Amino acid sequence: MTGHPPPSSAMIAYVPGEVILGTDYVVTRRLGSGGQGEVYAVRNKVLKARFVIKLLNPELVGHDAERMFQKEAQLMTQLRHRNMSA
Amino acid sequence: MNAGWTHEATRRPYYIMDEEVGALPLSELIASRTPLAVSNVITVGIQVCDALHKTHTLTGPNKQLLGAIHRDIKPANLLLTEGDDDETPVLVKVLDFGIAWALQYVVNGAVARSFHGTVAYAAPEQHIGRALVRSDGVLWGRPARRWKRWSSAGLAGGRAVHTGRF
Repeated sequence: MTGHPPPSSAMIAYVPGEVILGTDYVVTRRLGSGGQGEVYAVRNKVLKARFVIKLLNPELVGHDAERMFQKEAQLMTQLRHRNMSA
Repeated sequence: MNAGWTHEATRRPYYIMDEEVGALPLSELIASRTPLAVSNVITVGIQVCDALHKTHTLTGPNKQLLGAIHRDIKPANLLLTEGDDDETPVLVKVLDFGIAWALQYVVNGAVARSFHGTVAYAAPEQHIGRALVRSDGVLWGRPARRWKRWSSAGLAGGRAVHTGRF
């Protein structure tokens, strides 16, 4: 399973300690990234609590992927289960 | 759950999930070669099935089946946390961002054929590039994982090759 293009250099990557502009979240560390976006462990400045944030790849904004991402966020709210991390 | 867009200069959609603090991925437990009691293996298996069943039976506003599947069930995506009581000493948390990226919608029986997952735990139909039919392929990951638990070798050669995607 090789041959996937590396994440685009145009992708905005956040570094630990950086605030995700427009949000109350400060990046603690990167958990993963791929063509569709990035996942970070973050800390909410106001709530002073730890969370995980998932961001869509900016290059996919305005495409079908953005609509899917919104659907996914809506579905995740339904996926409340004691054996599901959500 | 919180969702929105980042600053208007970037305007990237995002959403927020809980962090599972202090959780141990099953993959790390396997790597440490710590023996796991048979009863705990069964407990973990049942809990993973419960979570997947919930995913597979998610319905939309008109009660229609959404056809959500995970597509990348593997030890690294199964977090072990402390259970509530003696009856449930281990509480499994299926990591969600695997699902999130992989989420597909079964529309008129058709699903995407692109490979998405981890080779060692993928169902046979994923290996040969055929469409993954709802939950069948995901459930293949269970025996493949259990096999790894008992044998320390995967069914597809033992070496987990990640695609670089979730």
